[in-house]
Amino acid sequence: MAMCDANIYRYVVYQNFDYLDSLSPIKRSSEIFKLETEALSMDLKKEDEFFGWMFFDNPNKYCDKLFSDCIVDEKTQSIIQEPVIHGSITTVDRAHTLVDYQYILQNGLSSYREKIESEMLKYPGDEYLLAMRDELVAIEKLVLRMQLAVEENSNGCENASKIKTALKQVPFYPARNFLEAIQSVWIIHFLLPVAEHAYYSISLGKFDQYIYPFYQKSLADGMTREEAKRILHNFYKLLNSYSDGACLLNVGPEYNELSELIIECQREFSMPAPILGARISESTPDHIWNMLIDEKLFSRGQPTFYGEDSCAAALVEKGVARDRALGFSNNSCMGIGLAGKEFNSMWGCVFSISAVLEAALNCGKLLHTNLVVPGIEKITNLCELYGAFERSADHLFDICMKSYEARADLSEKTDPDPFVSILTDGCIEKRCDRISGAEYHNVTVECMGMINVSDGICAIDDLVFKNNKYCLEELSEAVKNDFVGYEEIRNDILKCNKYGQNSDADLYAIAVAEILQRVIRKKDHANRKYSPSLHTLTANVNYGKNWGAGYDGRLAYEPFAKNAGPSDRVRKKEPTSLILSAAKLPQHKFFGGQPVDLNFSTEIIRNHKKEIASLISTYFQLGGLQLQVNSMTSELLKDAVNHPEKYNDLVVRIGGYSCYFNWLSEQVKREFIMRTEIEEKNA
Amino acid sequence: MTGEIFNIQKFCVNDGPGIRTTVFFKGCNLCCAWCHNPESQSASKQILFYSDKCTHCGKCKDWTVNNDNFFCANEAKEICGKTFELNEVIDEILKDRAFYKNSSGGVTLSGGECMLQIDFLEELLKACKQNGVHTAIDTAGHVPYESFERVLPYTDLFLFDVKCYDSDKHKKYTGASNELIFSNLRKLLKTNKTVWVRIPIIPTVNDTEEEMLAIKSFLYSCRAPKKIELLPYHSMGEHKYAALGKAAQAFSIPSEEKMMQLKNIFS
Ligand code: SF4
Ligand code: SF4
Repeated sequence: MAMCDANIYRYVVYQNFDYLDSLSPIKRSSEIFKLETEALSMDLKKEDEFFGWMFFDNPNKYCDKLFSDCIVDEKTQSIIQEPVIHGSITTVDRAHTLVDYQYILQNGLSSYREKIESEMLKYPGDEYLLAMRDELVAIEKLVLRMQLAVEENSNGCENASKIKTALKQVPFYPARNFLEAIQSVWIIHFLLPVAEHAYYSISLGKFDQYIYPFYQKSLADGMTREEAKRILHNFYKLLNSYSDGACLLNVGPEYNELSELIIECQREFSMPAPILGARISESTPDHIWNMLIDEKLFSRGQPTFYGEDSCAAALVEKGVARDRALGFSNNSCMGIGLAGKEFNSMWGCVFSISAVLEAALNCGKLLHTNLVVPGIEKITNLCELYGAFERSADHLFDICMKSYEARADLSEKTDPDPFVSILTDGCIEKRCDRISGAEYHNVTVECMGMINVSDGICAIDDLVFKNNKYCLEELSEAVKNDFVGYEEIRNDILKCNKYGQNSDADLYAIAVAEILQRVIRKKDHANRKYSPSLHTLTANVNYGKNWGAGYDGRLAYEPFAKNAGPSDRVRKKEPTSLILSAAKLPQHKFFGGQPVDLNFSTEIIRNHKKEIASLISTYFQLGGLQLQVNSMTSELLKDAVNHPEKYNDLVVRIGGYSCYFNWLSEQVKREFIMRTEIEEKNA
Repeated sequence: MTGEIFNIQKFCVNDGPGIRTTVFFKGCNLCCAWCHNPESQSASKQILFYSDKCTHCGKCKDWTVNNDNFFCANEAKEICGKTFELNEVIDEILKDRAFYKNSSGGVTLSGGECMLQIDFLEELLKACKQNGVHTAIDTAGHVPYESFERVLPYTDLFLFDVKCYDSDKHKKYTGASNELIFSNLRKLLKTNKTVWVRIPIIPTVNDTEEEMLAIKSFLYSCRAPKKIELLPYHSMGEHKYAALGKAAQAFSIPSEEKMMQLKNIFS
């Protein structure tokens, strides 16, 4: 049985290309959605607690033709591609959907239908409203098919009658109990990626908060905790059926019995999805800390910890009113958002900061391409360096921004998503797509290599400006030649302080971060929010592979520093120093997300929960946003490389997502092991 | 005023309560056969050489411990020991203050034998107390009692290492007899200071019931210490012996059952 993935979209387009091509893009979108829902097969298994198994088992077929309106002229094409020349990439990232489940559970999809219908009275024939309505009709039919399948009950499911009642109610009408709430969430959660044709990072939002009233109600009506756990287990199995290892489920900051049950499930079920996002405040109780700091969870890179106050402060900095900011949800993987209000292009732009530095230091010239940033003069001191850096960043980011805007326009015009737009506040009233209709269209800008660059500037300040040991040209020659023949220079660079050790080197990282956030956020307009971020996941490996050596002593093709962590050149890594360094960064201005990673030995997790808890809460008191944990011995990982068959269930956390270790490429595996070894050595 | 230090390690959670910074003083007057910090024993600076990482680039042929430019990019060679000004050490300790406060942690002065640099130690402790930092001393106790008297006013916790009660054995494995150590411990326990006694469990040396019973009866003949910790021998220091060009004496690692059995004697 093939689970549902983007194949279904490709198949539907393949089967109906000419017909679809004859439609307008908006009509086409709703038609594709309808055809997809019709192409789904479904199944109710004997042990099912609610209705969930929907899949697609047609062959893997797709056509390589573009719809005629998707073909762009050469000029647009070159604008879109231009960032690649300096190592940056833009995308309209369609995943990372975070809808307002609380509203949906309390009001049902029918309330959206009413809104659409009342707008249709005002604007009869509006194409976008029609498409929205058609998609709801398609969902209605899908739910009807589910009901028929339950009636048929060919596998003899014992819960069939309960499920039938639930499907008569949800997702169109308000949920009335725990089962209906979970049923409703699952149907919506399943359809979001179908509509977006992007099967990853669909967030569950503040799950333990919005489900809690239904949980309490069902307990009062006689449901046992064990029954609830079975329903959740069913839910977890479905979440993992299309391997979205980056689906984030929030718990806290108010912890209730349901939060505890979820943490317990998370520990026992031991699956990649969802990722637990634990929200930490001053009042997080000890018994919750003790549940969260757990070797089983840590060894799978869970939970991710979020500082409640600092995340809210980041949203305020972004421009959200404080009372609204407090209602935020942590989004998959690293975003902080408002449910149902945003479109999140989480990988909207990966901005190559190494290119910015090269241009700043070499009169606008990049070391390995012909690109020249205009107006950059020779620099002779740190102040001039920062000035040139800002001008270069401005120029290069402008290229990224134009590329992104062109992509976003194209996406809105040719590939809108009426279903997700229905669930994004304001789009019905504006009769438009989420791309321009969402309150915020966040374009996360990953500042790739920022830490390597700030370490480089620190070295330049020391060796060139302060001590006159080398001139800038010598350093650039050394970097250009990957330090071959310049080992002495590289040794001197390596001796300089680096970010992450709570030393003066951090000041350079702060300065660079301030410049970048200024340059990036200046581009905001309409609902577009360019959101600075230091969230690399494992992309630091791939981007590093495509870039030459750096002024921090990084050799060509080596990985960049990961997330807001130190570069691999840092010899002594101590968690408290890293935390103090990271907390100095203007984190609230990097509201696109910036986790730091900490690895703990099992011994510490077992015997020093209190110390780990104070380490984490100190970080949040100092303004830290997100903290990722891991616990994995290098020995175990090496064994997993040699005997993958023994480790089919070994889940690791890489950056923002969890996945099975066996799925990783050999290089990422090696890098993961190397990192673990360094940490063990310093433990 | 300066001190000889070979490491300042943050986020130590096994050297007293809470999150701590441990300052390792260089120099020791014992030479325990199982010592996992062999580089701490000599009071002077030394070169550590990890041959497996060396690429034989030849850069270091003239380097001495006093060379300012001592830097092997491969981390194959490093100097162990550095002369620190009092202020430098204090600054380093105070950096992690926020963590001490939140976790009820502080600083632990260890070694080597930190009591051998008593003047520096005393000043460092004073400064820590002036800054409100909880202080602990990790000592093997083989120093004149006057040294204890000097640090008593500024020390919140003593981590006192006891190796074995049998004096001949003690002499054989550590190079010194243990009379002074036990007499200091008795006097220290008479004061109102918090003392944790720490016993490394070394198979074939002290991993017997007799030994533990003897230590126990000694301790209970004084004021019983606040805590008695039994620490299993580990071989994590072995590579450092090689790096110093010394031979490590091999001991086995005590089994978990053994540790349980010995721990039960004190419970
Ligand atoms: S007293 Fe401690 S530092 Fe000194 S030799 Fe013995 S184990 Fe090593
Ligand atoms: S500098 Fe380092 S790598 Fe080179 S010979 Fe000396 S120890 Fe070996």
